Amino acid sequence: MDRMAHEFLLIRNDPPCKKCHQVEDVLRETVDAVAFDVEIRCITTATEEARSYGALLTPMVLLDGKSISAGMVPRKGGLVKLLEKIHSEQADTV
Amino acid sequence: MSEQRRIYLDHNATAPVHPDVATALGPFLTTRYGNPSAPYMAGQEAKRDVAAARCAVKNLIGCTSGSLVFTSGGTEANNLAIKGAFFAANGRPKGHVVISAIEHPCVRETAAWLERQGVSVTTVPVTRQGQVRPDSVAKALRPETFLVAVMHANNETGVVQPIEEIASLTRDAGILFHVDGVQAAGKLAVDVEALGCDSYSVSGHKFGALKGVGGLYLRDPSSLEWIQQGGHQEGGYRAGTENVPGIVAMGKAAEAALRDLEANTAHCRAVRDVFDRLAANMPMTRLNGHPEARLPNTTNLCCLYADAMSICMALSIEGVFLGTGSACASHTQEPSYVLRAMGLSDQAAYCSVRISVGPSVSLDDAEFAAERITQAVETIRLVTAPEDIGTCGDDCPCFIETDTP
Repeated sequence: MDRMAHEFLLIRNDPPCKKCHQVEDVLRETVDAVAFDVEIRCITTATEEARSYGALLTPMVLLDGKSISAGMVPRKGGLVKLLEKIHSEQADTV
Repeated sequence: MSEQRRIYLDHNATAPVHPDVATALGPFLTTRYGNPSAPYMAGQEAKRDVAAARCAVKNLIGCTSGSLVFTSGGTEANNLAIKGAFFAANGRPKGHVVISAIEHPCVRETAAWLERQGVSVTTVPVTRQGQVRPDSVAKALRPETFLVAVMHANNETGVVQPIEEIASLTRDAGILFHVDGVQAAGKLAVDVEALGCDSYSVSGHKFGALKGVGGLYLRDPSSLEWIQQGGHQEGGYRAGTENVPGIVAMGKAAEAALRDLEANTAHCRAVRDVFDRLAANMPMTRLNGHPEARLPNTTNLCCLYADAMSICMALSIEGVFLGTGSACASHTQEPSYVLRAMGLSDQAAYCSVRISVGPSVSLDDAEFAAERITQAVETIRLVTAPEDIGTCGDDCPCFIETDTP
């Protein structure tokens, strides 16, 4: 991945529950609200990758490999602030 | 990929197997397989091994004159103590039992079973710092009370209870007093005779033995009616072939715990204090429990507006393992009843994490973990809607089932 690009990883149920759908919508709105590249990737709990994160509670959201929310729908406003903070910290170090 | 650093901060759930135990167990998994009931040499060796382990566990809890019966763990020991007292009281339907509001489920649910048999159960409250007040117990006693059960130290908060004061009440009234010592044995200097209780349960894996072995101290074994029949083992008090490897492991772990108690206490307290300081250093964070009357290894922190499961998951990915107080029961998350009993709101209980350390956790580990906790809480607070904490949708599976019997 590009050093300046970011990734949301959503670990969800199969089939996705209502909350999983809501989280996906919030992530899309968040990505649309920032001025840099952020990818969204969805995987199901049955995958080896999900198990490697020790996913126990869904929906689980990881940002650049770190878990930021489990079992809840994160707030778009908070996600935008978090992304901008991480992005500017990373830009400072480049 | 390099091996991730792992920091285990959930010693109240289970402790790592002590190296002395691992060393001692080798022959018991290969050549030393005798049944202690057998008359030939291999059986007699096993019998001596069980006796030596019993002696070590008795030493750990200061038992010089009573009995110690090996069980499959703390849960069985607590069940035995409570149901055994009930049957010894001739199963009288008008009997009465007193328990505290913060007992482990194996005591609470056994008391609920007694209620279904017609016994009245009084649950006494705790203070905001998580302690049972002896005068609350005194007020709850009735002429038909046959048993009081209060734990020595709480598994979630580590708060140590005033056992000696409660024992003096029950002794004066001629009532059996059972103490669940699962969290205290191996972490505190325990003297069951000085405490004055009639029975005291312990669990091996909480102090470095294997899972699946525990014990019940009895001042007077004839005070209980034994509920498991079918063998003469354990003096007839607990039928079934002895779990020799588990019992040997418990004996070795007990020896090590007693030998190293002073050093481990000082070390754990220093490490724990790193986490205690988070209550002062992080905003909207406070310590749940008593500041002093507490196990030297346990810190329970309420990190308001950051739900504990999200903290636990975030830390788990970083290789830091800590406990939460909530449990999930079929699509609903329940807040910790221990913290609720201490007056915390549901939301504050959902935002509480338990950190319980052991001798293998270094100060450097603690500093690293404390930094990760601070970062995780800050992030989770940023993205979490406070009103969502503890909620769960009707069609939301939430917890992933990985095993069913």
